[in-house]
Amino acid sequence: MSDAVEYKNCSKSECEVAKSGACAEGHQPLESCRFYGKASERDDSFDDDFQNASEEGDLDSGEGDFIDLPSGETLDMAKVDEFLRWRPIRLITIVGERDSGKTTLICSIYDQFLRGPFASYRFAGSRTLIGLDRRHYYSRADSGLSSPDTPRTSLADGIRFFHFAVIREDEQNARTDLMLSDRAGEKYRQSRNKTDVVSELVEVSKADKLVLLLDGARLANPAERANAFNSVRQTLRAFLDGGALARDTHVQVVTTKIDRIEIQPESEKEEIYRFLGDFKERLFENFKDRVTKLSFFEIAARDPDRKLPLAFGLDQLFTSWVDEIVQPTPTTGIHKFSLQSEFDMLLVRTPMEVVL
Amino acid sequence: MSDRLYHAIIGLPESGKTTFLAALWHLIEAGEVTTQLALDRLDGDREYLNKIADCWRRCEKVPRTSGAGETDVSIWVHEPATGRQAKLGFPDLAGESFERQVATRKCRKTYIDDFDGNGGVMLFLTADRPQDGATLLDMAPMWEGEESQSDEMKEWTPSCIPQQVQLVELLQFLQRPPFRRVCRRLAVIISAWDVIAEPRPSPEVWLNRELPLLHQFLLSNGASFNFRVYGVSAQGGNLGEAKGTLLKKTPSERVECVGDGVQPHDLTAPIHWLMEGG
Repeated sequence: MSDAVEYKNCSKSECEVAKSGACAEGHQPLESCRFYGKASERDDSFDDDFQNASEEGDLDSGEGDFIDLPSGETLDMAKVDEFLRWRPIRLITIVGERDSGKTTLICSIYDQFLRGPFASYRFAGSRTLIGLDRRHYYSRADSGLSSPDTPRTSLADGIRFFHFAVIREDEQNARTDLMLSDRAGEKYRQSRNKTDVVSELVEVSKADKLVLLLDGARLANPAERANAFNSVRQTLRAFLDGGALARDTHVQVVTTKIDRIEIQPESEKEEIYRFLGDFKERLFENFKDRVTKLSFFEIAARDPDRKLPLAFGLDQLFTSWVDEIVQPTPTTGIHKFSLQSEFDMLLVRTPMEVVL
Repeated sequence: MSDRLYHAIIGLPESGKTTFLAALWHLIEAGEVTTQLALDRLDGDREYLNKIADCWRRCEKVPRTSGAGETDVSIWVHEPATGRQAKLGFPDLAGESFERQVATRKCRKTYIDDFDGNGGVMLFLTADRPQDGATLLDMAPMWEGEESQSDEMKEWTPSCIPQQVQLVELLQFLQRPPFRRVCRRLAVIISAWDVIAEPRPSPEVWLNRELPLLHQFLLSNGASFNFRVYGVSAQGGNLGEAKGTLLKKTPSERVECVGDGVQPHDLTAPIHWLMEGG
């Protein structure tokens, strides 16, 4: 790196990117870090305040003659809960190691809708268009990059959600609202090692579909293969053992970057798919009594060699999120709750007509 | 008043609003062709309007409205058969305030007030604009064999957002508070319609092909937007090659407006359709 390069400040006090050129969050390129180039903590808090103030029912008057409008950025859990008070959602929790393709998968869905209807669904809106575009930009020609990239999700971002509202092409009114989660892979790695981290993963316990990403690029590498399988198996086990996963959550194991397997010589490719087949069988056997539904998908969101079509296999996965109705497991009896306070007892004393 | 409607005009910079206004002003003032609406009066800068209409009549490029000279213009029109009146408001001919809305996530209170009534919306976009939003993988076949471009990453800014995404955002704003939630008539005006190669598709087919996200959004949000798509060539052709031919025509007959049941030169047809919904 030339001495002439000047790095910008970071609003995080512990990050020394301005001096060293290295982002404390590990972002590369540096501009993909949301804290990079911000002069002070104050700038960042303004950003958050702006976002917080701009969602449904929370619109404040701006300065003087101006009114704040919704931010269009990704949503946090509180905003998703707020949204839920307005409309039902399908919560799709996407879990994977760092660089397994979580954000790329989401960007690819956005990319497909920019081109037209996708998987027989039409785009009906998004609360997070700006968040989507901000990430999709690094795959576009005007980004100045020579090959597509996706900014890494920072550990400091916590859990964020991307929103897509869609309607089947052959219907007029049956709108489905999907919330797709995005969290740094490091957090999921931690959750495999520490049970108490699992309980922090609110997106897992609330998931309608739990998508576990199996990194195809790592499967193509014999030295990484076993660890890639292990990561998925252990993550599922940790979520189940930690009591985070509801019994009726559908678990989907999605092998990403299948293009990295497809470019291998025929004999190696066969071997990888044999390993993958064995892994699926064992996973099914090991967890069939603990998971209501376990299914497998293979995708290549963005094959850089263009041997596979764009968003290969993603249509089936997307359709499964929207089409399949998630039926809650019937409860075996009425949940009994105790009435203890005087306020609770008021409920018992009040005559009520119950309509069933 | 229920028989006085305010129709708002939305459009990003250089989407054809000023040229449309220049041609419309001439059309309804000169009475050279049959139109569905007649002029009542004008609110705003008449000098500016006459200046752009002069340019338009001379087949000169109508000067783009600059942000500094932001001009609010309103034209009052009425439907001769029924006497119904409507006000057509061009709150920002430059279009920069719309771009700013997407970038800064703020708008003026007066903009929100404009959408309080039962009027419709004219959404401008232009056919004479290079396609944006192409991905590196889309471009790869064209770059094959060339030296790979060096990594000189440009930071994302709101100006990088593709046109169709910005337009969807502008419409999504209207669906949520503080805007009044109501089903609005929306006339999508594709300006510079003459640049589209023959055989020309219908305006809606073109919209579906060129701005598919916007088209999907409109199809999916029938409860918020009852839309029609119009192709408009307010100049009537290319001001370079076709200028001589255009100058020989009666000015109002240069205008081309394409849409369902529209007379070929009647620029007031989209406004008339908006009025029917009020």
